[in-house]
Amino acid sequence: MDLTTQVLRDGLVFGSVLALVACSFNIIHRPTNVLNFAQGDFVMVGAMLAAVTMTVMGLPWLVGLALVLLGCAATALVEERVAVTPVLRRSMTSVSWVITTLAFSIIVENIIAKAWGPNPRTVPVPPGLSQDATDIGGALVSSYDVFVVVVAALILVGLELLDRTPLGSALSAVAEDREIAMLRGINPVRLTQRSFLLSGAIAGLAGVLVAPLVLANTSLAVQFLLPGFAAAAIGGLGSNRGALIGGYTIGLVQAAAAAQFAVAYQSAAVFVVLLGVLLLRPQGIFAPKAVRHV
Amino acid sequence: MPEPLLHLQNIDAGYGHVAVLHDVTMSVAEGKIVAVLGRNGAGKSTLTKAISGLIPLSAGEITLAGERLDGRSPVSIAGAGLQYVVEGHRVFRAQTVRANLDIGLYKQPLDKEARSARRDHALELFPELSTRLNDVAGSLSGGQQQMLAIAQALVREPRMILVDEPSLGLAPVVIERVFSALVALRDLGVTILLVEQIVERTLQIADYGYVLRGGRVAAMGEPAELRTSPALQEAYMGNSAGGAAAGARP
Repeated sequence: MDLTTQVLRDGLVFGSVLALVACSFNIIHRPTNVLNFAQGDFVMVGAMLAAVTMTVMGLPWLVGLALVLLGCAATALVEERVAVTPVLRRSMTSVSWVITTLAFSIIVENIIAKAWGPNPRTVPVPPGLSQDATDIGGALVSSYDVFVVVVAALILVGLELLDRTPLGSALSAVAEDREIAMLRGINPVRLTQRSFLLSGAIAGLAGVLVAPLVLANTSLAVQFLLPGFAAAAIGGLGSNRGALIGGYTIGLVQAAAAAQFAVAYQSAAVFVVLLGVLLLRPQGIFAPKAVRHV
Repeated sequence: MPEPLLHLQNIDAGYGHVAVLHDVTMSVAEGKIVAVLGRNGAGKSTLTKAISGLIPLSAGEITLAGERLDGRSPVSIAGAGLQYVVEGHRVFRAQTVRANLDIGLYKQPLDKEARSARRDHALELFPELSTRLNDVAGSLSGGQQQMLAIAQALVREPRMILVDEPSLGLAPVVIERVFSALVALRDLGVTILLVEQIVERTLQIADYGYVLRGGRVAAMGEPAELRTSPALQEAYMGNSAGGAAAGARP
């Protein structure tokens, strides 16, 4: 096994999951300007629900996945109803969502911990795939690793295509000028709800994908919140391509830090890179083009 | 006398506890340009925000073709057929001209050809935008952005448009271009409530006018009547004597 190629494998696989988390941040941020502090919880809920449906209940993988996506989307919608829209209704420029989304995150973590306990749970890979690794160019790669990378890339392509639809255009309009969007008949509250549903489902999918690799447990919320945000910020908030590059970057940095030093240094390494990128390019690498007002 | 398309009956509105509009009653007849004049702070923008649902009324009622608008959201009012072109040529600057027009058609049950026809129709008045469909709106001049803002409102084929200070920040030649387009729109049957500070040019194109002062209707009438109205002079000059709207932009 070659250390460099193994770092590359780990970086790409976990970076793909982080790219999905970064995208889920972007989806909510666009129509609301909210950075959701409960985003990591959707990942954790996705992983825990996968453990319950696929392992405990023994449901087929696709049925379990469908239930996970529904559950995470519903969780996100509850957050939108109780922790975000009431705040934004009072003032679009309020930053009270920092506290309300954090509060929602803590409540969800406590409920999940109470319901299913702190013990890690296994989650199966989809039928036909395996975590048995094969040596490819010095890296141990499984068919499931390839599956994770491909699924994440496909989801990102899908989101790019969604941006080109009237819905994507309406989301951009709400992001740029909520008031004018409303005056043109676009309902920002409805778009916000849809964004939360989609964001919750994508973060939940990230949880399903990562669970076989790290086991489902409540600490996933924290493990994916800050690296996911770092990936979104490095890539440029609002950019799907940026989320992918940001995800890979953070994934590689985490893998390299773990290989070179220790797992405990992963967070520090992530934030060194985040600070470095944002010092050089505060808007992130692929931030949507800002237009100078004339 | 035919029913007015838009009617405001004794409306009061403001921001929180600060009342700005007091007992305002106005009517806009179908197919006409009705002007609302007044200097800064007269309550003109508050009036447009109240009509479009951006701020709630504290009293009174607003109807469009007999349908109550007060208490409804801006989205619902846009759906009822009233489009508000906000001051400051606000468009979606990061999106292309074409995308800006398509946003005006969001959720309209139209096929591709019908959408294209609506775009073309809205651009007939502003041919300078037709060649820039793929440019981002932020790269347009201020005047072109104002034209785009009006075209964006028109693609939805509204029953009436409410245009707030379209001259703001524009060069005289561009103002002339925008005002000519408003006249052409009226001639096509579009009803317009035009809120402006510049008096003479507005009265030249208006069929009827109101003068706001301190959030109240200080005068109303045909343009010829308003030109000689002492209330118009007072609205712009306070109580001092002087030519009508001498303090206003020409």
